[in-house]
Amino acid sequence: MLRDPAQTPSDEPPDDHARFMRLFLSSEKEIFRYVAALAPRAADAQDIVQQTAIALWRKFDQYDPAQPFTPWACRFALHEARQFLRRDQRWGAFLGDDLVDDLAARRSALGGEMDRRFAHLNDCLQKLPPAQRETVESYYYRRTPVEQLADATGRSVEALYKALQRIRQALLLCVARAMKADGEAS
Amino acid sequence: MKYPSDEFDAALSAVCDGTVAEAQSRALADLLRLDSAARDAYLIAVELHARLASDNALFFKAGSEEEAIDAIPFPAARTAAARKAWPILACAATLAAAALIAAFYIIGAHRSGAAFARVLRSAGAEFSDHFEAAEGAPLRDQTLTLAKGSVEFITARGATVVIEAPAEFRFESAQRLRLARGKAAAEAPPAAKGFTVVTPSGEVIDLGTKFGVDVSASGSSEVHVFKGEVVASAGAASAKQSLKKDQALALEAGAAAPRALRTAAFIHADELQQLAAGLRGGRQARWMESIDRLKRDPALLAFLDFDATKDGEFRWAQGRWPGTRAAEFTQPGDFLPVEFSGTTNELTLAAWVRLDQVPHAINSLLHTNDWEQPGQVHWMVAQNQRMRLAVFDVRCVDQSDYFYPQSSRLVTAATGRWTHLATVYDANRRIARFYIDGEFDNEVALLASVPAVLGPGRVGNWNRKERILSGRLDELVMLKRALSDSEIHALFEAGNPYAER
Repeated sequence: MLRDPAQTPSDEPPDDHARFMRLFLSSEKEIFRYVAALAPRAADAQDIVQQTAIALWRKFDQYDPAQPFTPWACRFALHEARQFLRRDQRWGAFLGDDLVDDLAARRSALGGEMDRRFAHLNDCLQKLPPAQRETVESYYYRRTPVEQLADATGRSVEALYKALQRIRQALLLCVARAMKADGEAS
Repeated sequence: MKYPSDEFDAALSAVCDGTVAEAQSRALADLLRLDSAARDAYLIAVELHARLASDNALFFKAGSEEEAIDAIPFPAARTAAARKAWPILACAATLAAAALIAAFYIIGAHRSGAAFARVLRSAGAEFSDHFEAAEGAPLRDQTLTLAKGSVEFITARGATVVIEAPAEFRFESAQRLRLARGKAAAEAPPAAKGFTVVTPSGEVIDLGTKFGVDVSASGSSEVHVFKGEVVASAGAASAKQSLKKDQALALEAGAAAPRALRTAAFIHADELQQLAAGLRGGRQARWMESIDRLKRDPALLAFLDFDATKDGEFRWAQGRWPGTRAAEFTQPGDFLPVEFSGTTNELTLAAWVRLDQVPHAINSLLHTNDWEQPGQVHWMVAQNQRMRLAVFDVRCVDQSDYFYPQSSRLVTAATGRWTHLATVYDANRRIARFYIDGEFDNEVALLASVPAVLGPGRVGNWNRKERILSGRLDELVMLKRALSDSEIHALFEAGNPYAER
């Protein structure tokens, strides 16, 4: 069929872009968790994921659809994380490339076991006492800054950080127990 | 520092919260280097923290439908993370695409943990409530009115939803879409199993599938399943029903009734992509120019674009272009009256249609009322899914197996799209010709010839015989001359909303 070439838009890449978006969005959480193993502060991890997204898009023409996207993307994320950690004085400075590599490799090795361990995280969150649940939800889900949360609840910032630590420990205990029960059941 | 110890726990927590002190960092890093058990404990604890920080769905009861009705406003100000991105953006200024990605991120990142869905693609989407359908724009618990066009969202769990105007909707969570009006086609991957569409007259729960929900202005709704399975109910008091591939259900006033599948009712993701690309390529502007030319053609008998109100039983839906109207026929009795006049030896009929594949029924494109009078014109898609043109003639013909002329190709496909149908009747040359999407399909010799006589008629249900129309009709053109192949092709090209075909 005859087709006027001028009628076929070719000067824009949005279809590629949409394809990229789909792939990226499907991997985004895993990239975030991968990066967070190295740079745990949520805002830092988010920054690194953002830089990773830009880097991935620049190199997207080199991505071979025959390979799974997430591992390809994680290589870029590791590179971005290294760059970030080298500049970071509070935590990154003490990690060093050796420990970064060890942690990244060990996390990959733990892959399936991580999923099993956290399979019951949702249930465990539901089981938290209401006050703890409210705290964890405000902090993680609504992203309320701790200072603001302290103001709103009349607690000190230190007390809130301590509370968060306790909640996380309770959750770890809960998921570990649930995993053990799963193991015994099967 | 040792593992396990309170010191270790405190350091770990401080690293997660970003409050870690230098000495604490050094001690923790040294311990992680030496002690593989500490390393595993660190990775597990950080994984918990990362999951809490990134997985919205964790905060809702599994399978519950009461997700996130909180309406805590997010600060409009950019976060530190987003501000920091600007210098990097500037470096990448030459890379427009990188900027696009960054823009996506700046819009979405600081609340990616909280967005229920994001815009994936827009085909001329315009909202009446200051929402911009920019790629990546996040949606939370907000009611939106889509006035024009179509837009595709991806939810936090990876379900994609194409919504076509006119529509009013609200993502109440990543797993729950409230559709007050309009058409939504959803495709849910396993991670989004349980994705629910709530309508004023019922709800539809996905069980891993591709389905569409259509809510009329009156609030009655329909669900159509294209793949997999859904569970639907007409409100809380009504029993849940399982629907499988190719099944459809009408939900109204607390009752659910089976109905015929409307294969072409919804725009799916692949079609949206073609529509978006067509708009970017300036197709709508070219179409408007060509319409102006067409309207000056002295042979033009009728040009119906359905943008003006008409009597009849049908409803309005969006046409091929954002904000234009098409007549939509969904019930067996739906029809649209038309009034043409004239007698002509040459006749061209052309229309943009979006037809459902209805087996065992005749889709009527145009039926003049006085059948059994010589020259009356009936144009349809017959039970065999071929386009047919019947011009009534009382004269005897010497072939008893004579059938009305029809196209050789099938007109409707399993998944409907906008299709251009045309037929040329030429009594002088004794031929009828058929065209599908601008391509010549078939020519049939007529045994006898009689001038076509146009009078009052109907699109859709024609009560003298069982005729229906299931689908949309966007544009109907009638000329009293036989257009050439290239003219028909040009008519199609000018009106084609897709980037490619």
